[in-house]
Amino acid sequence: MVTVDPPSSEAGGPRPRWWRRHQRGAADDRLQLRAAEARYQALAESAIEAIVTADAGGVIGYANTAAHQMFGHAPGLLIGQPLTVLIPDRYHAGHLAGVARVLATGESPLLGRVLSLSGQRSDGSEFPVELMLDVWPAGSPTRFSAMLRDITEQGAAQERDELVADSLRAASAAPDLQSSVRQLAETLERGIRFDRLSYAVATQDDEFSICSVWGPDADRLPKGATLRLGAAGRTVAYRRDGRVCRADTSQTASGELPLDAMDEEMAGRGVRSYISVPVVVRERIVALVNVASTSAGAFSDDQADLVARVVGESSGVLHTLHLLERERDVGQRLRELDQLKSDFVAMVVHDLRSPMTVIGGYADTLRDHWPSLGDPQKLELLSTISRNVARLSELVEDIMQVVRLESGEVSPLLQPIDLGALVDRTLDEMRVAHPDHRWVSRLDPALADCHVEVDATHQWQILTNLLSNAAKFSPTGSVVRVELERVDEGLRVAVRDQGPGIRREDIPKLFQRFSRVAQLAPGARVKGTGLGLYICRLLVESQGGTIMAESHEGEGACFTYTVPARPVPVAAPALEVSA
Amino acid sequence: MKTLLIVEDGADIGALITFVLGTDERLAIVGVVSSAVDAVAAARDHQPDVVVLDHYIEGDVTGLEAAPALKTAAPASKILLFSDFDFASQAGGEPAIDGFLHKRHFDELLPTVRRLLDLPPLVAPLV
Repeated sequence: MVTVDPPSSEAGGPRPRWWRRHQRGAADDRLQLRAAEARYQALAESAIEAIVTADAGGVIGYANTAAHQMFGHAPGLLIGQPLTVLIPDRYHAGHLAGVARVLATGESPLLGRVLSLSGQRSDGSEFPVELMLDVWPAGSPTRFSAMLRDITEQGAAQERDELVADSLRAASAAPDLQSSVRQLAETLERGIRFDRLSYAVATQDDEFSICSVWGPDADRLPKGATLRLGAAGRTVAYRRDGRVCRADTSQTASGELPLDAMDEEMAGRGVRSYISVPVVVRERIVALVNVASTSAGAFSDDQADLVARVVGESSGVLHTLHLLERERDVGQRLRELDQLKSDFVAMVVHDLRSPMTVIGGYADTLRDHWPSLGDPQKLELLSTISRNVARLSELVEDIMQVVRLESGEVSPLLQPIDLGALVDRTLDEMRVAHPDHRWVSRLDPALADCHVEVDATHQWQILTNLLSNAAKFSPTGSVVRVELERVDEGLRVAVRDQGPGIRREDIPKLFQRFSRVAQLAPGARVKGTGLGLYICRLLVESQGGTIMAESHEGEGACFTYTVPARPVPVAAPALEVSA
Repeated sequence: MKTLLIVEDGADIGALITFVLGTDERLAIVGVVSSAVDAVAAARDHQPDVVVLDHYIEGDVTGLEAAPALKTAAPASKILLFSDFDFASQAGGEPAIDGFLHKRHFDELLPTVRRLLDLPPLVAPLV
């Protein structure tokens, strides 16, 4: 822009002819110039880019509407302000030095190049800009002009691309699912703040089982926990949108999916907002990645899109790692089962061997010393053989029963019986087998009718086992008491003895296979098969009951088991037929 | 007269060992115990010539594990590990143990004990 000041007409007289002529020419020039300026301004105003010009002193002479908008200033307010209002404080010194150099030398390495810099809005916030700088006139510049473009979006898009690529790289490099999920979460944290990221594998139609969790709030969602999707989650979210972004698990905004079972589950685990993205492999949802926060409205739709992209890219890797893990788990379980079986066989062999050794040893002795043995000695040796044969067959019976019960081959034969009567009958048998003990039953007086639907043989076996144990482990002359009472779930049978009791730490071992719990009775050398209580447990459980033991050292032991109440069919009363 | 200590927790087997070894008049059984703790105490008290030691016995300590302590308690005693499981190689690797016999070979018990004691077999039939 060139301006020419008119010669003053101090005398106030008429101007010289040259002036008038010049004036006409100048007027034409000015008109042209104004027209050019108007055209330029119109062009500048319509530009999407911000355009700013400043003089040699760094004062803004012109800034288009886009510039005002970009830097957050009201229209026209930038004119007359120093350029530094557009530049973050920390770059001021560099900017001023650069300007000084251009003014001094007329040159700058920055001219004509696209530069990436930071701009500063009127509220002090910064944003990334691309800028092209020019000066004029060339050689001895007096003005600067700049075209600027806000590249916030462009930068964010690039950042997101990098994040997606990085997360795939990180997830792929991990050796197992847990560390893969952790890597994924750590990469995602660059773009999203969240409290927990979980990987849940589809187990049934709308059920997912958590198999990996990461984040500060991970404790609230244990591995193995189940997530249930409601109808909304299943039919809408995971088919159409491919993701859910829930702002608040306690209420919905308009246009959102209705809250469903998944929201309830999430809310129950302290989650207020979440993003849920399905892991899709070959058009099948194999898992969900859930990014959750304990505060409401933590996530935007853009962030949900980002998670969806990240998960979409990593789906294959995550699924493969999960499959590998499952295979490892199955292998591990098989090995454990195999070990259990080997242990069982070892225990069986050990227990069978001891009576067999006795039988073999006694038979050899009879043979080798036959001539020198008297009849009473022979009889004694033969009795021992016979007793050990009985023990051996008892053991074999027990093992066979365990095998049958464990394999589920035997199912209880349920029929209505009077459990009170069965208790009395079994006690009578005990009085014959162990006459030195005092056998007492105490039936709940409120229990008029003890009819339950059970397997009578199994009940007899459980009772006999518990009562024989009580006799074995309590001193002669002591009382063994059977109590029968009604409880919420049905009937409860308790067998109490007055023996030395069981150590607290031994109680959990009682109902295990081949448990060998040290007896507290001094000098007691009672040997069972180690399977009796285990069989009791299997029998009780096969009829839907539970068995437990209570004991305080020195105060005897009490074994209780429950028999669930089942409706017992009552015989229909005979119809009265009137004549 | 040679003295013997029996370490065995099975009552029937214990009785049989006592009977079989008792058929040789040169042998006297000084004790039958069922745990390692009782065995070490009895070995110290009686200084037996032979300890017939079962492996799986009462208490937390097995026969194999108890052998060194038994030897310390009665250094002159010969220890025979007598088990219904094959611990021949383990017994061979334990310096405190002087011999191993499987319970399957019950009829070998008396000859083995005699060999450990350098006693010749009896020629005349027992009364």
